[in-house]
Amino acid sequence: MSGVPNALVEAILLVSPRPVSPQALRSATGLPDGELRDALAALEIRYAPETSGIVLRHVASGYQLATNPACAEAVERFREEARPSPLSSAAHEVLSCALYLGPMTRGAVSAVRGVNSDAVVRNLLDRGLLAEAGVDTDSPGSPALLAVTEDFLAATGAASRGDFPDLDSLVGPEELARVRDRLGSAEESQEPA
Amino acid sequence: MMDDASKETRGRSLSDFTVELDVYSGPYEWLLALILRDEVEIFEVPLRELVALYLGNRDPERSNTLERDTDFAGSAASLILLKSRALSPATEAEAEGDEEEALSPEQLAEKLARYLKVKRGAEALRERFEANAGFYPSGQVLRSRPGRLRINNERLMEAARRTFSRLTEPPVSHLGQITVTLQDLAGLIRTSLTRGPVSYEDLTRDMDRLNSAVAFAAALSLASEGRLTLSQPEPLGPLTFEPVP
Repeated sequence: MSGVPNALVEAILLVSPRPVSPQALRSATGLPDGELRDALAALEIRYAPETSGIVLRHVASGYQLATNPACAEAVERFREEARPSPLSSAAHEVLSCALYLGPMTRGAVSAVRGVNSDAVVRNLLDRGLLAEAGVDTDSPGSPALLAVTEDFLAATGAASRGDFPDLDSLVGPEELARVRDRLGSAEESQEPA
Repeated sequence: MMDDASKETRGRSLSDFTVELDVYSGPYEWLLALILRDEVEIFEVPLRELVALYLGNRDPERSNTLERDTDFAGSAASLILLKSRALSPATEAEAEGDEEEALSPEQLAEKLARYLKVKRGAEALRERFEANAGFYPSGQVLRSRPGRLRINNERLMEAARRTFSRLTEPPVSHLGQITVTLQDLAGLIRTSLTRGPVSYEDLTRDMDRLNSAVAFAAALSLASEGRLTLSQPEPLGPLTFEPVP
């Protein structure tokens, strides 16, 4: 059994509460790159969501065994715990700021949103979706810089930040033009006749 | 309430719009919704009605009422500031010594455009969070098993070699001249023991750190020679030297 690559990788993933990076899998199993890739591919087939209650996820730059979402209700009943309450719109906006424009300070987040975001940031830090990643030495008091975490990537099913669409692709040019036009026309209406 | 004529002149009533304040998270979001969905100018946004609309929909029985009220007050204040800055000529703001730069309509448009992108990103994130909410990781947090560590002899030797090898002697000039010897303090301990057991704390009460350390070494030396016994009821507890009968 000790020589079966699939079994080695499967065992490591089972005992890890966090996504395991390919480097860590290589180190623990002693498998060369090619065999590790083959083993992961074989496990992906074995744990296909159509047939298995366990699925193999590629998230947060690593691999993770998790329950199939189709079984979530049964798992929650068994564990006698409710699913965490969904995040607020404000929380999603703060995470979007940190993901696309970050790392950035609390003040910068608030400036982008136009409203104080400290309480939302605190909640996201508590939930492990945001973390302080260095300080802004150019700002007075060197405030902490906020960045999204590995937990955030796992919670959004992303292998890396590259999995998210480009920020500029999220809004059509006609919609942006409409915003600018309306404010532009508002400005004209303020000018004296 | 405003009559129809005043509505016409001062802008449309919020009741004409499909905006639900309850779900907005800040002034930029309100503005965008009003601009994009309801075709209203920023300068037409009737703040008095905005507040009335919020209060009309406010449910004090909800669990997070205070938080929502705070958010609303913050957002409303920000919106008032935005409107006032956009409507006031820049020269007036400068004349009043306003430290913050007044927001021109162009600047506000840029801020709203950037916010709109962030907002769309947030909406995409919400979908991703929802789609991934049902995954529960295998999470087996194993307890450590002390005493069962596997030791690799080669790595242990390498670690020991690195630990005990020293490329340069550390500087000791700051220590000053050592003026006490082990023999001196061993003699002091032996003399003290003639009067019975003595605690290490009493023995070293008036000593400096160097003398205290040497006294401890002297006591260990005497104990190894069988000239006294060390008594310490618990780890890091009081240490007593007792004479050997």
